[in-house]
Amino acid sequence: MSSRLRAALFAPVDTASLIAFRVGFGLLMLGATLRFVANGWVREHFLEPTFFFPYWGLGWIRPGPAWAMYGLYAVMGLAALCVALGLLYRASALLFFVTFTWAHFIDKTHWLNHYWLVTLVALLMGVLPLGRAGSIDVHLWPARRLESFPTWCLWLLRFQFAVVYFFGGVAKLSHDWLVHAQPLTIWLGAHGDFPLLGGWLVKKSFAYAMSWLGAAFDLSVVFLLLGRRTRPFAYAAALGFHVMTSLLFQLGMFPSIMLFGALLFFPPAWPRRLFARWLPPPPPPRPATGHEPANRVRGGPGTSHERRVMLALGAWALVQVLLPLRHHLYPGPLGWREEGFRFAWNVMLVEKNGSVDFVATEPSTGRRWVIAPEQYLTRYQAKMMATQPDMILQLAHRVAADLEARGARDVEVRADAHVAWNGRPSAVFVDPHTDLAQERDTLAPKRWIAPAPTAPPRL
Amino acid sequence: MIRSSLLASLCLAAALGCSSTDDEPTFDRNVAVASIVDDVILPTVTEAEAKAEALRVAAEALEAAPDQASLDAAQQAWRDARAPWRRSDAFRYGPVVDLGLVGAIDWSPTNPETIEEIAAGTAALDAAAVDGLGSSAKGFMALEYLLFDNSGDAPILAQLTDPTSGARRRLYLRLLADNLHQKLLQVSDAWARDKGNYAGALAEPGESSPVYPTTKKAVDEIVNQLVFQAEVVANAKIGKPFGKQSGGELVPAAEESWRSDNSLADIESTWRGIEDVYQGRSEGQDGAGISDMVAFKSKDVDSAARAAFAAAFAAAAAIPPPLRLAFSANPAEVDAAWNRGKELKRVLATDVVGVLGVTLSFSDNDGD
Repeated sequence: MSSRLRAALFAPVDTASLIAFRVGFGLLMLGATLRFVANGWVREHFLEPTFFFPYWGLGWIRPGPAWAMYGLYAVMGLAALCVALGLLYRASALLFFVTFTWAHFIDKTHWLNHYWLVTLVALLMGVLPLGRAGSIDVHLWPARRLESFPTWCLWLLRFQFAVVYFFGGVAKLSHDWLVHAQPLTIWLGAHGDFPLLGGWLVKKSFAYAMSWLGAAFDLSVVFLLLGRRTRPFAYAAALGFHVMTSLLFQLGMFPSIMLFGALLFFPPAWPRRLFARWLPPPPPPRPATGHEPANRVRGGPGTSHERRVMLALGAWALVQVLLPLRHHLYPGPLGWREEGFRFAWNVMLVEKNGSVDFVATEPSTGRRWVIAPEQYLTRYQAKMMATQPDMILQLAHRVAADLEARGARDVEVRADAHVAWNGRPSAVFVDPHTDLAQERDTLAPKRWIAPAPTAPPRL
Repeated sequence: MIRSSLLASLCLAAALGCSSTDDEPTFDRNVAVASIVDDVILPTVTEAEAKAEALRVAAEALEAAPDQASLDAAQQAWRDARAPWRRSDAFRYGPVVDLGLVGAIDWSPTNPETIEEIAAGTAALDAAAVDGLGSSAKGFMALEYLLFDNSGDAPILAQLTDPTSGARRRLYLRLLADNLHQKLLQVSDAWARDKGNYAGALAEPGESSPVYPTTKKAVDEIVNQLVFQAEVVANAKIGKPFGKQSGGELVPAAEESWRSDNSLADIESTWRGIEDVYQGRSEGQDGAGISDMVAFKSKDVDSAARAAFAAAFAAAAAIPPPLRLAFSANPAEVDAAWNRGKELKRVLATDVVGVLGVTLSFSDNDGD
């Protein structure tokens, strides 16, 4: 089994689809970077806020001044272009990974699943030898050219996109999604003027249909993309699904990235067929020895390199499978508590709206402050913070630190927080008696999150 | 297996969709949006302009004949103009923002030193000069400074009738009123269907609208502003001067209209404007508004919102005016009003937004 798997993983595969992916991903990321800057998001995300919500353990990732942030995005865009061109490919891919990840790990306010996907794919691309064919690099250094890539390169990227779809589907196997058609009922209901379909979108039955279809699509599309006969239909369904969702919801680059990623499931030579006039035919098949000097990434069959690669692939796969499942370690509904919510492909599962004030007291004097989040946050940050417990805790700590810096002693901070979740009546979100200043920000379950409302959604 | 599952799901979806196309009630949000524009927004901006014109006329009369009667009339005209302007807080988007007029119309706090320098100066004082002034020396608040003293009218009248500086002070006052009217006329014209037609852009969202490509965008804009203004009233207009953000120490300078003791009326006007939009109210009669959208989804939420408005107004009415003194003399009543204001904001920001599917967002960021 192991040797058969090894042989399969290290068998040569046509470079065409992976080169196409490299070029497409690089150009998409270049577009995304330019769009980010053009929309003023560098200023809005990094320069206007005075407080940021770092990820757990990553508080050292901070924004720089304006010149540094715009410089970061310039480097990011340039690196993306170099990835597409295959110029100094590996360094460019890693540079893109570092700059992109740095920027998007500054403030969890702006967490998006597809930013996480880009981070993962960029890291993988920094590891994969995708610049050793169809690139400027091989024109400059012909000795680096590979006639084929090891098959595991293709399957690693396929796996990464499969994880997004599949666990996105698993996440939809929830009570709210399947039984109450939430939050789609709320979201689709706001699109009554959508051309042609508007009259349908506002109907509860349509939300049910879309909820069930959406879950079925996410769970099955990878398998259907893998089947030769079902692949065209699956891709057409993906096209329809992503186009529809991008028209209804502001999803940025996500649909484009996923549609491009889905092309990886086509036979690796598909670009040669599509662009037969411009691309050479694939090289003739040769035994998969991996020893040919021009075709060797490193090592050969049965070498320690292969074992290391297989070990790394297994470890990567394990992490990718466990991360979306880690929320089972926490009590209560995921959508309410959001512990283990990020990095888990919980795509478009929750409609939460909250209102939070912080009540700070100095027990020794009885002084009392009521702090509105807007005193520290932009309106968008305040909106996002109001429904996410770890962000509420982070701001509570900042409030306490600020007051103590201004002379108050042993400040206690409590949150007056209410959240409406997936169409339910608003409910207390944080135990109003808990002094958040004393609560540490750890990965342990947060005992101060109020119980989730048990009433069903009223829509 | 998978294919058959998908096929089954498709059939289920088709059946669910087809079987109920015609028997589920729907609500056309465009009707409510159009009603809000035509029955609430347009009458309010028109009234704001008309009341500002009346203030300008009163300021002219005061300039020509400064006495207690003309001062009373100008003060009342200022209060009358203040009400529709404050009600228009509920739709503080579109022209007034795009034209950059908010500061010129209503900037707080004023800068008394600058105002006194202008009033006592010798530089040419005309419409262009006043238009070029900074926001802290013009608009409603500069007019309030020249018209009101909460200790009585005698000091104001003395300044306006001073043999050496009174004429220039009255001229400045009249030019301020004229400038204010011009700004509100700009706003009114920009909204008007037969002029700038921002009303059309908001009332008829879709591909033809230059601003709101979908009804959802229009509803988002309307509801976001209601939430924001409810927050501003509770936190900035009641909570801040009441010391909620300063450990209980009152911050009198944070009260908005303390010279005229119009703060309570300002607060009630802003809430009234929010309620007008929510209920589509025009001339005291409810029309199609956000309330109808909410009630269509959940009558409970609509009832909760209406109750929150009623509680807020009742709490404000229970404060013995002026607010400036009530902060110290009637803290329980002020605290109750602050709490009711927070509750109103909470209901709007959580329950109302939640049932409408409004994107409570103040940016055009992507989602996932």
